[in-house]
Amino acid sequence: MGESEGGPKSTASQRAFKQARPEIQKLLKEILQAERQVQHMRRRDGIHEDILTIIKTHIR
Amino acid sequence: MIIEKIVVEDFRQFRGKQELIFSTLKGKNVTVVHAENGFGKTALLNALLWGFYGHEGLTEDFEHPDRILHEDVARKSRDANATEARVTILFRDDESRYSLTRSLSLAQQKLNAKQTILHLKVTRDGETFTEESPQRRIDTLMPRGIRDFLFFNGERIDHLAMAQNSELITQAIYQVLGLNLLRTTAADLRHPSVRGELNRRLREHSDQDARALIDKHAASEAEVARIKESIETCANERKAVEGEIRTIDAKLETNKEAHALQTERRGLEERQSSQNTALQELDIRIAQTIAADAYGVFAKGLVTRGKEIVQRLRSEGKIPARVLNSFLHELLEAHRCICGTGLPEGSDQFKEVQKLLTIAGDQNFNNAVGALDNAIGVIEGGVDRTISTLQNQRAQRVQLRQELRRLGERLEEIHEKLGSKDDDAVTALETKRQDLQLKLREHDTSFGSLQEQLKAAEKVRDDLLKQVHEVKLKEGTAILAQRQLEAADEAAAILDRLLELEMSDLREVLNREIDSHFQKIIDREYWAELSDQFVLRIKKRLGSGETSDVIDVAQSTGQRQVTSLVFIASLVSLARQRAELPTILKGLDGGEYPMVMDSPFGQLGDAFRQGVAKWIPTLAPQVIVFVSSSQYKGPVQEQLDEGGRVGRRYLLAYHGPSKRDEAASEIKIGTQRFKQYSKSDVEFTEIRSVELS
Repeated sequence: MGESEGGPKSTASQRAFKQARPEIQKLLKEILQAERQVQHMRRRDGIHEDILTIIKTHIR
Repeated sequence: MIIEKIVVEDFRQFRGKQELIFSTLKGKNVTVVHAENGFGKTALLNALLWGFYGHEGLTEDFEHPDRILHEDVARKSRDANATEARVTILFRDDESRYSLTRSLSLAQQKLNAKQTILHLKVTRDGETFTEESPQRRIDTLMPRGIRDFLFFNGERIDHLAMAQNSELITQAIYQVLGLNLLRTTAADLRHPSVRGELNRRLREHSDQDARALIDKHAASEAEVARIKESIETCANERKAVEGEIRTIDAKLETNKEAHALQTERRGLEERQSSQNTALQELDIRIAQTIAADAYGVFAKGLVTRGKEIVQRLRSEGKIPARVLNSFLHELLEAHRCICGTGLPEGSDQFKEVQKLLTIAGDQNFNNAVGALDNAIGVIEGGVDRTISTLQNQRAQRVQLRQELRRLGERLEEIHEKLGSKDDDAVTALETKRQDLQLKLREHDTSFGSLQEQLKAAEKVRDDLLKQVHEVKLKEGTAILAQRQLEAADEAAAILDRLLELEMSDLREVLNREIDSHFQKIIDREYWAELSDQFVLRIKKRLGSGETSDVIDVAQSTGQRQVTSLVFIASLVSLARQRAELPTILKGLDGGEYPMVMDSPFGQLGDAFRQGVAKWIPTLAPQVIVFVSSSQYKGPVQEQLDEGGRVGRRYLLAYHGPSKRDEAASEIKIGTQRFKQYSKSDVEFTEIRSVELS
């Protein structure tokens, strides 16, 4: 996510992200990272399993 | 990305091995390919697309996409495995140089022309290696979603500026600016393999009541999905009906009896469509004016009363206060006047100062009345402005409705005339057209009612989801499953919100870009922008000062083509600046893309041609233009040649048994003449470099 999250020059979306619960922020960052790895692939096998694992690891 | 060279070998009508080197000079970034219609412009555009994306990349107007190999070469082949079509493209991106080769053997073409062989070599820091996943690499460099905006037929892009295609605009923004990541992630979080799995676990460990609630929510979700599917079916059916109407229109237009009336009808219907959209948008603006400013009109009584109160307080000397009560309290507490006289409690002096408290004012009160006075002034001033704006908008509305009525009446007359022609073919077509128009109306009604159903069903689903999140569970596993499900739902909802906010921010940036491009081509009193609903519009200001208002200008096909071109150019420009754009996604690289345009001047009048030709070199770091001689002559030639931005120039020379009547055997470029057609038994196109002296 953006460098200036929540800072004086932050965008509306950065501010909205900052308002989310820290737990969800962390979860989103990890899921987005996993998505980034496969975003240009035609076959995205395994991404759903990866997301499930991330959720189960973070939300305990 | 900058494309340096393409080599085609027995690809379609390009027989043998032929090459075309693109200009890569910054100051002369335009490569012009001259070709008459039917001489190979579309094939060359498709050679580039096939090279990058294979069969999937080919454009819709590329006929027989399963016949890639040159027909004569294929016919004479003695070894189907050794005979192949091949396209090699050399390009660079950032610090890397690439060489891609895609090939298709005759044997494979007979089996399945979609299965091609792709090799990609990358040279970086002096080292060359073969890319293991070549297609993936190419898709990363130039995502498929944006290829339609980088390689396009200029005569077919005007649809981007049509209201019904706003989804295409949104898609393009998602693609070019990297926002697809947010959307895909939200969709993945809601996927049956993710949300469905979490839901299944929750259900498994829940008690009976919670399970019933979960099932109810699942049913509501299924209902939402069912309605969405119906909406899609309805939209597809509508499209099919529209297609049938277009076919009938084309037949009527070629019929001598119906030609004039049908041509007029086409123009009127285009106008009707754009004015209907303008009316819808005007209604939104009227609603916005009322919501934001109309309170002043209704608050007139309150304003008058407020003014009277303030005036009375002034006349009574209460505002501004001559002396502040806080100051008097300080003196009384200190038992000393500012002149140094003592103020012992109960003394006459003490009582005198105490008496002053009856006329003293409060600082906060002073401030509040000042602010109220100011607010009353603002509201009062705003009332006249609001009334005037609303009057203007109402006048526009009346005008639009009158025009729509006139258009409707004339369309009805045309229908009457065509329906009562003596020609049986015309009347049959007109009757069929009328039936289809009724079908369209039925679809529109169904569509509206489905939208309402969807809204209601989504509300039920959301309420049930809230209950599922809040249900009190006893078992530890169930509580954990509930938390995980809630987290997935929350994360997906946040992504939806982020996407919405990002799009709103980007719309502003994109609008600035669109307008700056637009101003280079068109009159200053007009400007272009993306509406809140992501529709490309040309706007004009009516009147001046505070009472002026903005109206939508109905666009002709040529204007829509310009607006669409401007939009694409703005996207390409933003893609270049992507790394600096304020966005929540970090690590987005700026992408430089070339623009490859077939016939960008096709539907434009002379006034636009000149503007577009002047502006084209600034569109992208590299611009490749395919033009016919009729499109090139006059203003286009003047602008492109005089601007000195054409770095390289080619000509597609056609060899074949015959040519189209309208194509000349020679083409004049600058002051020179070049042969572009030669009679030959075998059909092929030759790529010739043109050097102007």
